Amino acid sequence: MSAISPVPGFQSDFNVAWSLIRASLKEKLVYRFDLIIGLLRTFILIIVFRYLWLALYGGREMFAGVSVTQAITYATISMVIGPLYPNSLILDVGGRIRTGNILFDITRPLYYGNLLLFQMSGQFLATLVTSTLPMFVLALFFVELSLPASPLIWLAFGVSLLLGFMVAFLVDYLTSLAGFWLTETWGIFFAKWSISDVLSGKYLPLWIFPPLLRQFALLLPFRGMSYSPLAIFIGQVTPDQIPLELGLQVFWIVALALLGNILYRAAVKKLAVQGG
Amino acid sequence: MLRIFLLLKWKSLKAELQYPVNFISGLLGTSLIGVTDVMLLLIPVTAFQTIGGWDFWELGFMFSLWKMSHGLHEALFVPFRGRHDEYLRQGDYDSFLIRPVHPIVQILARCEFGSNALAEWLPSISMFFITASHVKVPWDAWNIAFLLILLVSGAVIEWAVYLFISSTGFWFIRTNNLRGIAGVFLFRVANYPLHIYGRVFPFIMTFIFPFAFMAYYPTHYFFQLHTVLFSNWLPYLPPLAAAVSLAVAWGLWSLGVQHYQSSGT
Repeated sequence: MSAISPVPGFQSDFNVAWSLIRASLKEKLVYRFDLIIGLLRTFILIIVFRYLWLALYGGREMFAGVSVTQAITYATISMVIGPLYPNSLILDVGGRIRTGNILFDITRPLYYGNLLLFQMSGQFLATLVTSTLPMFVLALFFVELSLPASPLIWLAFGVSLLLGFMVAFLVDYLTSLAGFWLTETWGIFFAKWSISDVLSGKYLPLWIFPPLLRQFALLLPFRGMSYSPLAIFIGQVTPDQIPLELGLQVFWIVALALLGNILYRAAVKKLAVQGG
Repeated sequence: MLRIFLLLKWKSLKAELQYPVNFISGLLGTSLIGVTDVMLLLIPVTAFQTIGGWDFWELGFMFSLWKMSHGLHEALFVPFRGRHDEYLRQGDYDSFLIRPVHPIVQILARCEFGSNALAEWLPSISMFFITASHVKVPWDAWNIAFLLILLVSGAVIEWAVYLFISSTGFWFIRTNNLRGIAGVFLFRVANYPLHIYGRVFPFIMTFIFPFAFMAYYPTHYFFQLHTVLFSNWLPYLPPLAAAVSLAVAWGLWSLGVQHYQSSGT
């Protein structure tokens, strides 16, 4: 057990983090063609949801206090920020557990969760520069968007997006730890994917959900992934409600991180039994 | 040949069943994708009543047709979605080409049967029976025959698109990008009625990636809707669309295979 890396919270290995981030950025730029196709995919999705909202509103001015332009803005920004979040973390960790390569990861003098977080942060930054910002500019030209007027809202959106990334990362991290018990993780990968796609508000905003389902979704951590930043962006979360929304995201990050540490300890023990 | 094919399927199902926890978790997890897709119909329709004039039962019926076809594709044709690239890269084609069975048939035989297809059928067949009772389709022998032909045609259309994309692999090393684009049309655009999408998407879904023949057009036949995009004949044409797209894809494959140079491994 002593060879297994510790669980402590803050190891400020900024050098490690920085080199992992640089590696992600380089990786993105090597596959330029993939990058362009990725942008095209996102663009098609934006158009799909734009048409869907136009069809749903069908000429109506407002629905639940939200205009069609606001709804389209929500969907567009959601598609633009979508690639920032981890997508194959669960399968990657699952693959490393199956091949046994996980041993090289967890024997490093760095908490495994932090290692993954640094890698995903690298992906976040690389995607932000190479995909999210260009896509946003493109969307400005092709889609009618309602942008926040106040710089404070932009700031709150930025903070909420970072917190949302943390929530998304922790949900994936927790799910991937289940791979220590299962030998195949694609089942839970798809399960997590399906559940969070609906309940995070990624595709459809929570205010159009039936009341019971909406209450349910609001009680779960998934809302912190997409709904919080997007609802702040289009003004559905009003300025005086913003601190509460951000507070909820922080609460979920702390709770999920603690749960992650506990599960990690159990998972490593389980792995030791298997390897023994 | 069919016997060997079915035997291989049965063996691979048995192989998967050796790990029951994986099998069940995989089956449930993948089935949830279907539940999510239904939610993405149900939630907006509950709030707004219709999408493009279609209510939940009509949309759900269309979705179930699409997903049953897609499930059949998963059961029969799935190696052409992605695995073909590996075969090319790793030189498996060397052995496909020297055996006395057509390489495409050999590749189909490599298809694992399994939880994938079941995970498509569980939600889609239940959706079909739930929605079919609401959409007032008279289930006479003629309609049932049309349904069966449709399911096969739909699976073949999906296969043809992936066969076409896989065949571009003879010239390009990786085809996953093109597959990703087709995937957006197959998995997202096809969920909602095509007439909400303006002009470009219906054109793509009819003439480039003809996924609209899997469910959208035939749904018009079942509901007796008489104004159809492009032509009123389209609802009857899924078998033709399947035949044409398979012929085109098979043609590209035949051209491509002459380009094949072993990777030398």
